[in-house]
Amino acid sequence: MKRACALLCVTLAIAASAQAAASQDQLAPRDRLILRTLDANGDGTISCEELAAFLDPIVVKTLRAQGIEPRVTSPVSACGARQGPGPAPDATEQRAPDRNYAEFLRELIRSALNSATSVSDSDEAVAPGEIAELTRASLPAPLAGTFGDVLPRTPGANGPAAEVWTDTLEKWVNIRQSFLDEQGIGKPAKISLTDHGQHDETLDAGDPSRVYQVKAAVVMAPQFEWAVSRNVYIRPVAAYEVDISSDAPEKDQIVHRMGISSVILRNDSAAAFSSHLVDLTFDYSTNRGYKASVYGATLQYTPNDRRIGIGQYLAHGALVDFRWRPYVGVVWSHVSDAADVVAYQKQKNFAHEFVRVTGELKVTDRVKVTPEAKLWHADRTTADGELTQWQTLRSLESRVVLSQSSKGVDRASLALTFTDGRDEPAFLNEQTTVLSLAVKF
Amino acid sequence: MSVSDTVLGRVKKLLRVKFEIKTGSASADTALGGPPIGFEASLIKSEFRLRLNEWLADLIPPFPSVSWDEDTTLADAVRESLDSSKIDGIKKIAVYRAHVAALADRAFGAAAGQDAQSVPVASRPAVQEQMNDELEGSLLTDISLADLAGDKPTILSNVADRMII
Repeated sequence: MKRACALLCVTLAIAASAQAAASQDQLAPRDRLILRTLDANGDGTISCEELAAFLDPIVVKTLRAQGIEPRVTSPVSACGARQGPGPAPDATEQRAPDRNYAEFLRELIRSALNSATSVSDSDEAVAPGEIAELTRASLPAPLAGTFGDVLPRTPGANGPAAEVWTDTLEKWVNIRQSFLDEQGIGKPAKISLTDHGQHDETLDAGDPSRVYQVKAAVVMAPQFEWAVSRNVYIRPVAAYEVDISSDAPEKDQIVHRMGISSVILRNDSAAAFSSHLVDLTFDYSTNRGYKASVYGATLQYTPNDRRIGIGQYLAHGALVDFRWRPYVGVVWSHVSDAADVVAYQKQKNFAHEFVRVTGELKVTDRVKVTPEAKLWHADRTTADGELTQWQTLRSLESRVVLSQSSKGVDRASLALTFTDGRDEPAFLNEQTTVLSLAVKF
Repeated sequence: MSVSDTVLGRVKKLLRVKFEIKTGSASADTALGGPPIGFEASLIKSEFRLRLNEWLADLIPPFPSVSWDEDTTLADAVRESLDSSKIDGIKKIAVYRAHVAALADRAFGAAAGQDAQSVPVASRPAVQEQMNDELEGSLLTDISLADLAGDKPTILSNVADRMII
């Protein structure tokens, strides 16, 4: 039975392939031979009658023996008129012959596939073992070769690999440079090691010659989302951020965040600002020895508007393309214990409002240039009283992808980053150029 | 002629209808961040995920989050959707056909009346519009007026044909 079904499928596949070709010139030599075999009158197409004549009568007989009725008394009659129960349609409801022909093909294939159910939970109709047996069988004259030559090639027919624990972990955990980048053009986490040579004059006496730096965030997103309405979705988030350098413990910034991440969706997906992303977290910041204690909250908003390149490349992913993302937000904090972190020693409370714009210029899949600009407005309570400041930060990162996974996922990249300006919480002037290896999972 | 191809067709229609993307060159191997889609990871994890949840609501429970990013292919998204389906054996074409036939039956009852066994010629445009709206996420091509001719089993068969590759 399965062999008969497979034979029917192969026959129909040959016919459909030849039928689909616009002209014989577009066919491979073997397909032209097949077409000539099927095309009895030589008009370049395969009529229903020609196909029916080619079908092995044994196939139809076997199908019927299994209780499968292809809705016709003979394949030929199916080409010209609709069969089946119910009142006969009037003349205006007659289908076009090509529609009947297509339906006839679909119905036969469907019957054949559905009748062979030896492979459970799959739409593969014939078991791999039966296919292997079929591939060795010779094609009927005048066709040369075996059925294996004309069967479709199906790489991956063994099915997807079972999910491993790292796949599950990937659903729950994200690693990047900053939690606040999650909704944006996510910069990868960075781990860098700088080694100063013996003749390096930039190194002050007594300073360590080898320095490591870690700038990474581990973001946990539980597999739960609360649909407040058809347009508002909220889910909990937790994040652990580390920004430390081995030679500068006074600049430590370790942040623990817990809060919510929400999406507000417009009904009209084509409208401007079709969705809005809002993050609200409560934060506990400290240093590597957990001596400092700073409590606060962060609110950040960013929209999606694909028409102007927010959330989607302007040219939909062309070789050279650009996209960007704006953010607005505010950071409130109360310094409970500054310990030896310089940024916290100078203030008791602060509220930092910011506007941030990031972009990404893509030049092929291997080179990406990421500019970023940030404008801060800071209100602080210091020992000297209230203080208001405006600050800016600009950076430009050029990234060359060194390694990609087999699926083209960026795994390792070399990044050159130029930074100029002041960033919270310390707002010390920074002017650096850093070459680093970036890793993203 | 497979459920994967059919669901891929549904996802491509989502991209066409909701995201205004020309999917002529898109295939199963097309990455969500690559041409002709070009989505950014955050949009994939937020808006695309939510609109896909709604589009495939008859097949899958909503994804609360996804690990998809710009390198995820359409085939990956389809496979994950089918793997998470709430319908037993949905990967079998016969099961999928029975599922969409039930959808078509429900939509037909809502549009033409629960006891209707055919659609009068004069009512067909209205029934056509209502069924096309109701089945927007599962129809691969729109229902035509000719599909609504004949008796109810014929109509449902015609509609189901438009929901399967």
